[in-house]
Amino acid sequence: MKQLSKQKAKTLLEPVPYSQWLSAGRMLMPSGIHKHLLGSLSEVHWFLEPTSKSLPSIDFDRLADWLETTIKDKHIAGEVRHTAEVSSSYVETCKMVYELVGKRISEAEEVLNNAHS
Amino acid sequence: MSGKAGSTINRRTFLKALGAAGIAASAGGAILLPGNLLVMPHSEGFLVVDMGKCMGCGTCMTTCSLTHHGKASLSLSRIQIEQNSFANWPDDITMSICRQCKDAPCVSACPVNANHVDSENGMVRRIDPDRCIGCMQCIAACPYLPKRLQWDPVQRKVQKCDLCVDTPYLKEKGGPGNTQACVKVCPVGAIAFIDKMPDQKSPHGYEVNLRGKGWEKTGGSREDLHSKS
Amino acid sequence: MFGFTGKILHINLTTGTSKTIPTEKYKRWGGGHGMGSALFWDLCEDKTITDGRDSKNVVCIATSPFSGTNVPSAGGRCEVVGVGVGLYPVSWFTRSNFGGRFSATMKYAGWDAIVISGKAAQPVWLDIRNDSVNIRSAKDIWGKDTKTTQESIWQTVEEETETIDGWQQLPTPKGSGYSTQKPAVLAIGPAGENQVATACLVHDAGNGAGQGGFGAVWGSKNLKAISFYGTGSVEIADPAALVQARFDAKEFYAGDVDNPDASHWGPFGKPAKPVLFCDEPSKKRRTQSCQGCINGCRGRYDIGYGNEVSCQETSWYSSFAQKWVKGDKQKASAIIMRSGELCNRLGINTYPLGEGLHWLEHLYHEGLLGPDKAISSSLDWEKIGSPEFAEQFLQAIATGNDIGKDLIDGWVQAAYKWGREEDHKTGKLQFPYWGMPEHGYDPRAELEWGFETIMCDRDMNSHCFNWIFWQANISILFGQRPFLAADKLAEIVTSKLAPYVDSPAALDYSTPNMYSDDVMQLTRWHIHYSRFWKNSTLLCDFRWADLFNTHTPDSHGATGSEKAGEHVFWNAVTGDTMSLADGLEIGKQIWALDNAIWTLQGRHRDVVKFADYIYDQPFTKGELLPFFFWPCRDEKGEWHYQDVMRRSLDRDKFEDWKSRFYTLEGCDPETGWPTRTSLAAMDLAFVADELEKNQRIGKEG
Repeated sequence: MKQLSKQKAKTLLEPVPYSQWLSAGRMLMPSGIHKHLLGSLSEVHWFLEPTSKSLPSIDFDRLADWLETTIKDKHIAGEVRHTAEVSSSYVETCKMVYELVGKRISEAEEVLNNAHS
Repeated sequence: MSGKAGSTINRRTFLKALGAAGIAASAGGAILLPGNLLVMPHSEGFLVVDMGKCMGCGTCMTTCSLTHHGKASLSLSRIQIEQNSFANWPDDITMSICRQCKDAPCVSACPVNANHVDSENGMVRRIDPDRCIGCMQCIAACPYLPKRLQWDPVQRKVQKCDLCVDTPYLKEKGGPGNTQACVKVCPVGAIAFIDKMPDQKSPHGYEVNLRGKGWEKTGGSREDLHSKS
Repeated sequence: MFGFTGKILHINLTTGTSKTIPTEKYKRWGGGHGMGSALFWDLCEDKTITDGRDSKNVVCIATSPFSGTNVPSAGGRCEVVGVGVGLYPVSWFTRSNFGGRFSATMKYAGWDAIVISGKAAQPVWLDIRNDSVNIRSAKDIWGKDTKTTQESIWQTVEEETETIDGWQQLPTPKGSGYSTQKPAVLAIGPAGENQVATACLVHDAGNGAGQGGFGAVWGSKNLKAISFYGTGSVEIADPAALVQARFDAKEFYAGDVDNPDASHWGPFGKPAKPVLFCDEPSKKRRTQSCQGCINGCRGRYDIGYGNEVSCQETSWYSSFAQKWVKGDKQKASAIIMRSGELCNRLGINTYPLGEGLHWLEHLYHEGLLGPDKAISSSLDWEKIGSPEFAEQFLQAIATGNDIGKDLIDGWVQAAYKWGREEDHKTGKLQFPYWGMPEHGYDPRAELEWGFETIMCDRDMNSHCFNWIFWQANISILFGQRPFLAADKLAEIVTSKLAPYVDSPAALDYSTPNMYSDDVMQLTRWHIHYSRFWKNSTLLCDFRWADLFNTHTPDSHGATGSEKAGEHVFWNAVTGDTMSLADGLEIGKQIWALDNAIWTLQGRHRDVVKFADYIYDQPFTKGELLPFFFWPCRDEKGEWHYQDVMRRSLDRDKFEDWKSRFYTLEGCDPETGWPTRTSLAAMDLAFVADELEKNQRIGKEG
């Protein structure tokens, strides 16, 4: 994997404008599925954080497309696509993508921190 | 006094009985000794509650009144759940049960032995409705608030928890060692029956922790409500 | 008269008088909704009104024979009916329902229902203590939130009642009665006082009659609160059978909180636990329930806020708050629980707020809403998600100021006022039926939810079949085979639907079968079941119908069972010999009576339709969820769980569906109006007379 550039790292961590937010939701039995709009990579991360209270509700194909075209990160988009394809279940995909996105955020933060030090 | 009753006295208690002339020499399983000393065997069963676990559904109350009276009522229930939905847990709910007191003042206070220690039914303190004259002295004698005896305005008699001995509308046998309707019906297991007398001195002697590991799994705390004293 | 108290209280606020109506005439309706509809029919002199704030409106709050008893998840529910506020395009005669202990206390005070007509000259509250009825000035509590109002009334009643030995003493016709309880109060907050369409009625901390805008109805009548305090009993025909059935419900069907098992399914089968869209604000809590519940769904906490806030109250602001605190779950929980509590205090129905606030946020980002914008609002929209914004926003809604000014008559009405009708048509504002938000279960996928809602008057909010969605989809989301295979589930569920359904095909929601007679019969069963068993006998929607339940060896739920079925409880309480199906027949009559009222209000089948996007756009749930699995048959007739997303309703086919539905319900398929023959067959000839007088009787087929 190529080292992230400082500019790229900055872009990855920036929130996107409202018009580019991604529709997702949360589901809770038996209340239903309720809208949750995602506006940044870090938001995707905490949105997917496992909790016993409810489940994230998201289409991973659309997430991958969004990561590629809006967040402009082909690498993580590819990883999400691959994960969704190989994982054993939707919930497993949620957990794995949560880890992947978290790792990607850490990488970006590290690049920025190193640039500042 | 029956042999069975005598054998269950594990710690004799002597009470100065009410001085009123005409008190019967025997109040069920209790015995009046010379010098107006009343021997009262321990009840063989007690209800204990977890005030932190109760849902406040009141099902114990309506089931209590149903099994005893055939009516659904809170006022006629022998267990009383009070709640304030705006108050903080655990103080939002108070569960008031008859303690089947060691030296039950309500039994001692009854002028006609209607309120008695039932030697046939595990020494439970209970009121014989046929003998109750509705004087309410037992209510006055109860040291707890709210009073653990209830006035039935229709029958004009007093009632109290009998651990389900006299439950014409319970299909199974009630009483100590058998079914207690409130225990059986509670959806969350916040009421339990025990045969060991709880601490009589502690204000929280009948309040126990009934929240097990399962409770924790559903997200609740198992922490004791009161530090043990 | 077992189960009933025998008396209904009628308050005329215009004249300041009360009278007692014998219950006998209304017994046939069972209680709750049916009784309320019949009382409305008799007491509302102008049934053509279409704004619940009209002083001619009559609102009825009704109990059932189950109220005040230990019938599982029924003893504390209460039904409200009357002409609503804020529905679109017409505010129909409608209903709402709430829990707690209000209905039980009403029964203990000796009343089966209370009917309110007219309008008070000044704000009042009703103080009912057993037989004593007083209309009192609400001068001191008008303007207060629902918590302060209730606490104030509790204090007033307590101060005026003698307390002896920890028991409150109340007069009864047979001497003194005693209670350790607090009066049960149903109140409006500022939203109701300001007659806001989304105003609700609130009882205790978290029981709200939300849908229908009944808070606005009360506000228009200058009615701040009703307080019941009672010391009586509910007479039961067969107490031993009732107690045994309640024991059996717990033993054979209910989830066990001490041994929770997430793999179990069925509404009875889950253990008591708060239903929250956020982390619990504290572990030091109880699961709290309505009176008589078998497994509660709310919490009370040690932290000074959030008591009884649950479900939708925790959903509407959830995504905004989480975004605001960048995913800090505990901080988000505090904001969510506090904002939910504020809704309850202000008396606001939270249901439209979630979908509605997403739409307002969209308008803000589009530059259409904000200070000096076409839709003027000076709220700090940049702080959406913060506690400060929640406070500002809710106050605006409740007082009808700022953005609340245009929302006062309803959300879809505001869209049209702002020239944003396209948003309603395209689904940007996802309010698919009767001016109400989509519930989370889109009509294009979960067919019965949409079909029933549109054939009635408001979001159906009836989860009987919805548990199927969860059973299938949660398992699939976790990569597991659903506990019950599709064919088995279809067989179990449809076996409970006699006499309407005689084939598992009724549960086949596949596209080729979606407009079939079988699915229609399932829909009819559900309307009639809900009209009677849920809304009239007042079984809680969260726990009934228990169609399938994995605690039992054959996975059959309590519904219709001889151990703990609906009819078992009904017969034990009332002494009747009713079957589950007999109740459905009453449900059918209730729908017929409701439809007659809607007809007088101006309903014609042509207005019975969804928002355009339900027909014009395939369902993708806003791309939220990757799939929506439901039991379906394939071309070979074999059952599978199949994704029913990515389809829309077909206008022509649905219109045909409606024609067949109206015919089966005894209505004229041309208009949807009831016919005399069908009404007479239901002993409702007097309804036909009224329709005929108004030239709105359906043509005979």
